[in-house]
Amino acid sequence: MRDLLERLGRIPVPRIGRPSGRVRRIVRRFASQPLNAAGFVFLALVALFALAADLIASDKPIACRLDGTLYVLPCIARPAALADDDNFTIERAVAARGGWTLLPPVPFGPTQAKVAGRAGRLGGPSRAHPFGTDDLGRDVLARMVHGARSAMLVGFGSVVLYALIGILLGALAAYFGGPTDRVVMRLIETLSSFPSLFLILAVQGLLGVSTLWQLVAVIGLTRWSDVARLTRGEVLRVATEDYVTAARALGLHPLHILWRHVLPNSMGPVLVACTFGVAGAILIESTLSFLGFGVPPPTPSWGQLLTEAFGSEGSYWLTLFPGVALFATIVSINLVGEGLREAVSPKARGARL
Amino acid sequence: MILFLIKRLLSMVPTLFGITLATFVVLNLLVGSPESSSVGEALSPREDPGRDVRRSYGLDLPLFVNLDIDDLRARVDRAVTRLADARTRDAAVRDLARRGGAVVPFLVPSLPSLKGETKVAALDALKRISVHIGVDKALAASPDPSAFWKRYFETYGSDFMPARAARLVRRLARYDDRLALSELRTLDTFCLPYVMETLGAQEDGPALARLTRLASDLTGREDAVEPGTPLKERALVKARWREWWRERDSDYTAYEGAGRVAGAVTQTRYFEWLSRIVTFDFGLSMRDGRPVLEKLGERLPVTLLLSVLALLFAYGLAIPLGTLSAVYRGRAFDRVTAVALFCLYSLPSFWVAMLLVRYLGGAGHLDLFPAQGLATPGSQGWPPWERLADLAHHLVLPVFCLSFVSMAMLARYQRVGMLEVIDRDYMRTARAKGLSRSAAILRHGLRNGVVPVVTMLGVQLPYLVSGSVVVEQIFGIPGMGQETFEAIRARDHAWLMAVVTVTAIMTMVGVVLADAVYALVDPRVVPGRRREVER
Repeated sequence: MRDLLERLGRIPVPRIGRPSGRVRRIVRRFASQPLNAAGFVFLALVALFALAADLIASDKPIACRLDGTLYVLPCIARPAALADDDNFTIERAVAARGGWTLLPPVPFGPTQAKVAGRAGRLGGPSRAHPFGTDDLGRDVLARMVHGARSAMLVGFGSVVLYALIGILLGALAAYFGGPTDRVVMRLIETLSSFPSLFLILAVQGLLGVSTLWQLVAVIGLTRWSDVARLTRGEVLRVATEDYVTAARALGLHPLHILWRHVLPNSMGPVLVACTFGVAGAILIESTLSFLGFGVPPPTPSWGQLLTEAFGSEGSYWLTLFPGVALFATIVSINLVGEGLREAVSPKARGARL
Repeated sequence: MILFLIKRLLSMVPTLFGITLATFVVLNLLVGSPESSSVGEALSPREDPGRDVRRSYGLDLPLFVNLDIDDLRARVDRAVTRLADARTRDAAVRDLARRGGAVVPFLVPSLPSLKGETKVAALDALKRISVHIGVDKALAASPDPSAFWKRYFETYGSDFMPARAARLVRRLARYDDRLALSELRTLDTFCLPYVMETLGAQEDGPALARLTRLASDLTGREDAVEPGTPLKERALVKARWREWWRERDSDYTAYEGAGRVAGAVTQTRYFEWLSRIVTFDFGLSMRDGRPVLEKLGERLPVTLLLSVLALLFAYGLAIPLGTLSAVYRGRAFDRVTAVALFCLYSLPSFWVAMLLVRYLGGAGHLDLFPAQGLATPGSQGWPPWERLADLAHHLVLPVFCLSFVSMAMLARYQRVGMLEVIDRDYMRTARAKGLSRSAAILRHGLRNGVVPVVTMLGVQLPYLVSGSVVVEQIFGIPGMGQETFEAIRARDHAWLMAVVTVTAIMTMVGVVLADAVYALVDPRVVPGRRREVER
């Protein structure tokens, strides 16, 4: 008998439980729709802007050689020697004293106020400032590029946080059942009873000081209920599949089954929900910033740009460009979400455009 | 079915508990900087200075269980031990004197056991109290104060009985009874718990005036009404006294017997919070000192009106749109609607609201809709129908901004729901028996296809309430959202906690109602019914 079990234990786990082939199939199905791909590409572009914001828009050059010293990436390293300089003083110095400089594509920093002789307050789109300037003479494009960073950080950061909490709690509830399940279900119901923006606003307001990470934490800790509910349902569903029964018959440890077989196969819908969640989190971030309870003022954010626009009549570029950026980002995330939904469960067609 | 509803209602209880617990945790985590929220009430010489702000949040109490109740008896005992120490003696004397007559039944019996300086200090404290209980002249005339107090307590000790104090207060409230008043004055702060109890339930103007006068004299916290004070002002005074008493009841009350056992639970921070929720007494707004409940009563209807209209708009448009899309699946109408809905679904509502205010609200562009408030200034004198039209005119933009995302989402769900049923056998049967296409869809298809959308009713409510903050702020509508916005700026904990709790409870009730509606529309969801249906 023991002999037999030992031999059974060596039987490779059925391939159907492995995610690799499934993932490839999902990716292929996803990419087959041009709209999905377009959404994904745009989202990747925004993410790239967010990651490389300092290289794209900065008040310091990407690299320069001045007075015999080579500065590499002063836009990120911010050397003390160049602390008082910006792109234009360096450019002038280079012209006068020799050397060279490589300016970023947008030669303004996100918090760089009125540059002498170049940027006016509330200037409309021009060659120097394609998206105009705001009421402090800051370049709107530069602020938008850096605003992408706030949006992406809050969007992805908070969703990663609440996905972790939600998956853990949902899986535990489904796995242990009984009292654990009941407690988790009540927790979920309690949390989803709070109007999320109200709760987040109240917490943000009561906490007072606000940083991006605090925003990530507050959104992450208050919005995991949907993911938990979804994970629980999916785990319960997958647990009845034949391959799980097979794994159990092989005598594998229940936690191993949960981790290796059940969870990977129940992540599809959760992934879809999380994708839409990113759009939701970005919307919350911009709404909070719009209301003045998001990221603190010097940090650029799209919502904050829109607040400024609300305060200054007649400057359409302040309303239009950040608004469109926000809208396009949300659209592309929703496109990716829809595409994923379809790729994950091809049966659920119909909600398609 | 009824059993299912009862079960569903019962399942609300733990959730409700969870809600109170969650708000409690938030409250306790966040009340870290109380200096920002002190009400700035002047302290009178008879009041306990300091610790004020901490106490207004109940921060002097333990979180969930209180085995060491800090009531009047404990406070007197502590003061007496502090009398023995030369360094704390003065403060302890002042503390005892400030509490007034309430300490007499605890301090006087312990006099014989005190020695030396401690006894002198205790007598000093009692001497100060004697002014309040009206025996100062007799005390001055007596050669031996300690013998005087012994005699005093033998004669008048039985006056310090809760039942007697309560009876006297009732008499004072009912008739303008001079005798009762003077008797109460000799009891001093001992009668405060009963004054507070009667005061809270008192509607009669003159009676309230007498009680608040007495309370002001006893506590030195000047806040009395005149017999002719208007009703609103009276309610405010009552609310302020209630708040004050909530904080300080344990200064003047001794918990005995059963009260002491119950006190282990009731004298805790969580219980204080729970009792506020259960009685809907959320205290006074720190922004303007008005009762939070009264402000909620003004603000909530506005937000509810917006939400209900938004729901009507969202459902009223989403159901036909979704149904038509499903009927014309794949055709031009379906495709155009789908793209439009998808875009609508992705639009940030605050941005749309901003654009609408700017370009339709008359700021130099089209002046189609008023952009601020709910009524044209000076419209009070208009005839009712014109005011109603004015209100409707003001509501168009806010309701649209609040509901278009819900509308887009619901329409998409409605389309999917309709597609589910449109090819079913019973639809073909309906057509075969001679119904026209539209009649079949309306009578048989829609009834089943609408179920998933109806069940989303409960989910919509928190969403709309959340959205109201933004919409009310942009359109300057005096609803709950706007007040919340201002409350956050002023760090008005009382309002914030009340609003979070009330909206959470509303949402929970909404979800349960939606479940009930679901069960009515589709009996299969009731667990007990499933078998019958399958059979």
